[in-house]
Amino acid sequence: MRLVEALISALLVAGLYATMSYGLALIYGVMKIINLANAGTMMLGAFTTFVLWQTFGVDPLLSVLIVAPIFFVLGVIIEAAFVRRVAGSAPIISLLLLFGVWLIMQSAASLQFGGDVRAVRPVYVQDVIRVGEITIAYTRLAVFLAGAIILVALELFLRNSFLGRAIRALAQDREACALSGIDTRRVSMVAFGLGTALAGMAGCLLTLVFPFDPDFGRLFQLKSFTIIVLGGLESIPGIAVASFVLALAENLTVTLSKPALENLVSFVLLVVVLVVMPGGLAALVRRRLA
Amino acid sequence: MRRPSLTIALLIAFVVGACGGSSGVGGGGGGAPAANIPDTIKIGAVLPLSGADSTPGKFMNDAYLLYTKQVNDAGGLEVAGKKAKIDLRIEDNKSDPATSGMLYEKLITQDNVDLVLGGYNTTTVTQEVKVVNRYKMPYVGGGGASSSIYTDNTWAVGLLASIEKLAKTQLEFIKSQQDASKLPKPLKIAVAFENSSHGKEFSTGIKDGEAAAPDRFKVVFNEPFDLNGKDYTSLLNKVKDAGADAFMVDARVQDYITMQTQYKQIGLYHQYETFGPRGPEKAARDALKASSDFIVAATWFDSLQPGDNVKKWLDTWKSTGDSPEWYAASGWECARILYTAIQKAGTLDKQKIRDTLFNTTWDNSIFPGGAIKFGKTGQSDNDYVVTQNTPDGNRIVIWPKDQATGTPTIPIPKK
Amino acid sequence: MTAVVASAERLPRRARIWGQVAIVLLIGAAIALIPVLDERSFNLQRLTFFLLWYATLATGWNIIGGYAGQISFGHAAFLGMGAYTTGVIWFTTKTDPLLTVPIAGAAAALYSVLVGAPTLRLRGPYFAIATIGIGEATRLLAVNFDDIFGVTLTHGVTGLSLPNYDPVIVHYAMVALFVIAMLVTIWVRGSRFGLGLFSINMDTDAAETVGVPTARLKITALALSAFLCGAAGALYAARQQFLDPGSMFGFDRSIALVLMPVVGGLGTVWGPVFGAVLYSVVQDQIQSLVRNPYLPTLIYGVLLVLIVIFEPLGIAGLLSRASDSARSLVRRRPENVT
Repeated sequence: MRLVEALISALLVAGLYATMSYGLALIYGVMKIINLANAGTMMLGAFTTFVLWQTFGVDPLLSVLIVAPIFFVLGVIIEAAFVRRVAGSAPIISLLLLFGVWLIMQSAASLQFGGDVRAVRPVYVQDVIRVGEITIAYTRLAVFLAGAIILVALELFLRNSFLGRAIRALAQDREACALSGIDTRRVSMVAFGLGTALAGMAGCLLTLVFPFDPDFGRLFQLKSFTIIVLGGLESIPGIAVASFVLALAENLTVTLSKPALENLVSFVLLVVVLVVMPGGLAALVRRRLA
Repeated sequence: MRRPSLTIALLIAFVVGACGGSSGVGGGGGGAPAANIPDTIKIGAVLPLSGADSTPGKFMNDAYLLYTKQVNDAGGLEVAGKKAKIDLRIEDNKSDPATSGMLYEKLITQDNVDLVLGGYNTTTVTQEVKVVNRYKMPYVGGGGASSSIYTDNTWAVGLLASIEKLAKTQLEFIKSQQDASKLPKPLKIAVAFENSSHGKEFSTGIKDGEAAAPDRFKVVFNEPFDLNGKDYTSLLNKVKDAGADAFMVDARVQDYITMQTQYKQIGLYHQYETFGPRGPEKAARDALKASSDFIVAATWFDSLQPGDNVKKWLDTWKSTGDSPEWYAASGWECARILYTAIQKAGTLDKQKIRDTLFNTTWDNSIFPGGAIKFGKTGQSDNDYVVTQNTPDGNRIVIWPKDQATGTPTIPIPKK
Repeated sequence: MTAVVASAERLPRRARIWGQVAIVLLIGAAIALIPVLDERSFNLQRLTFFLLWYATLATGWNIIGGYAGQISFGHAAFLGMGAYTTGVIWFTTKTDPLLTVPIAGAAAALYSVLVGAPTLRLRGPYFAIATIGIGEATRLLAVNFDDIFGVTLTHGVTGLSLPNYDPVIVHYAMVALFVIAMLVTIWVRGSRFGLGLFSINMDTDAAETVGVPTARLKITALALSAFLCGAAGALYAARQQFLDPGSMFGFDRSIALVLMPVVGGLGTVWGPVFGAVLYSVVQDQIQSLVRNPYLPTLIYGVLLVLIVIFEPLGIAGLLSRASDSARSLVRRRPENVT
């Protein structure tokens, strides 16, 4: 019974993990840079949701629709103003640059909101759905479904629209795209905007399940890294699986050993995966097939 | 050769710029001549105004400021026949112990404060007590309860009785309920505690109680959890499996809110539930509403306590618009005791003020018992007051018996 | 070709190195004299101790992060490892903490080799990400060590409260460590070893092709870097007499260790020192002036972005730009390699 509960709990958390990691993977796929500001974006998304909820009473699930376009624009601006300037430099440079952007986001939020831990608590926060002996919190289920819808919508966009296909093409071979006349700059900009919007939406959904403060992104940043590395940096289905694996590993660590070690899991997993299977799960599967 | 010389220039500029005015002052540790009272007395404090401990930090900040303002509005503090204004400097340590230690050192060596008021959080206060002992600076703290703070200590005093005692007080209350056949004997207890010295001592206190009365208490689950945790469902599921009668947790306010929300979500129930000193805070009750009904808490102070001192303080505190939490009361008492100690000593001499702090029984206190006395180590051993949240959004004092304002609802009703 | 350039430059370079050494010794002597001249100059002692402490840490970080270009977001792990080594030995055996400074450095170096051997095989950003994991995992290990292994060593979150110790002696030790760190960084920059590190920084593949033992050089640089940070951690323990995992292994510490050298001037000898001076001033003075603990971070964030975009060599680069003749001193080494 406990195992079934652990599996369900992991699955529900995985939906959120996947949403927040997807943006990181998308940006890496297209631009080959690691968006260290992802955590900051998520945190800003959470605070935007908080403000919307507090001043206008907007439900966090609804504010996803408001946050998405705002953060898309934010991403486009960050790309055009900063990231583009270091496009040709060593990867370390863009890493440091986005690290700076993250610091700015974090301290700006701290200046505005202080360091307090916040929570968004709509009326249904205590509601649960009972299936036999298993209870599922309504908020978690809602967040999982919202995350799934967002990811499916994105996948459809990437597969069926011209821009989406251009993004996928760029992730595969930048030079070939440039040769075939695709405006790589514009596509990069859109990809960065999309990635940022995803992180913002993940921040929205997070507020329903977890409390947050301006510093909270760090933990999730590391989890996203673990997930995209585990899933193979550019493999989209890999990320879904990796999210589930991490959530389950965390859940089992608490259940079978010490709760205090929960966060150690993702970090150890990250280092081990980076070293033992650099291509992540996807590469592992590919190797098996080959 | 030009760049290195620039280094030197920069270094010199830094050193000169940074400590302008501090040269020749002589800094801390020195004994001021007894009768030589300055026009303003400089008091320093470092508090967590941001970060994990910012909620209690702000309350203590407001209490320090309000008490100081009252003194200054009355013309200042009368020391040895002379009125001196108080200049209170409060710095923010972002809830980081190392930063707090450095800031106290800075207050003492650069700002040349005469005396200091204490900070908040056991680990942080331990670091602070190290610093004030090095500079031989009297320190009155109301934010650290672990007895480990006061080993090798000669200069700091602390208002808060130990967390072990907090746990033991709750066990005493439980005993009375067992004797009234309200709770089973032995009581199976699940303990979950934050991974900090605070939490560890809470767990130790309960374990000690179990060892002393194995016929009454049986700890069936005892696990630490990370501070600022976001997801406690797995931990709570383990608690569910433990099949305990009582759930005793030690957590910070925000963690308490998160955990209790998830506790209700997965449908847990216990005959007795406590979050250590947490429970009746306004922030938590606002967030949790009915989910926090019947939770028992043991605190160093509760505004429902009887007595004129408490009433008078509540009237004064009203002006801030804040709820009268225990950390506000604690901060208030810190300022009151330190300032009164200056008056009593009639000097700013640090040794004399230290002796006064250690050797006086501080009457007129708003803490339970009405008086505070610091032991040899510097820590007070005051009694706790136990409260229980009631379904009307309020709470009642349920322990000690002679101060009770209502009858406890034990066991907690199953909804 | 490198050899030709190097031999052609031998004379002026040697003179330059000795000049830098002289300046380091001068700074060291001046700061060492502070408690001698005025034993009550507590404030100046405090400021200069932390200035040198930050400078040593930044210089240590710069050897792997600046010279070899392997950015580490987890250097607090090595700082904390050194601090805790000294702290635990001091606490349990009452050994004089200054005697254990080399042991602390060695422990940090050993730890860095353990975690670096696998992770340094990763390229660029992958290594940087892995170091975030290393830093956090080490912190959590320090928090939970006693619980996991059933011994009392780190005292977990409670913190390790240490005996009292004369801060003036630690002040002298800090000066000595700073001088050693500067001599090391000056030596590395002028040595074949340093040349190898720069070649890794510029193009690891190319360096490997021409026979540079990149793996060995990187691990040596990391160990050297960790040794300096660990030794600095030991001195922190001796001076502050209190250690807690959050403060020693925290991500904020690691961030500070990245910021100082990057803002000061990545891969330059004096850049980390400039960065440390700026950091000390901002941290110690500006913060209490504006009464807001978040403003410094905002300033660093903005500085970082500006520096990365406009002047990758940081303050050192700006200063050298200001004086043309000095410019070559900063830039020559990397340009030679390419």
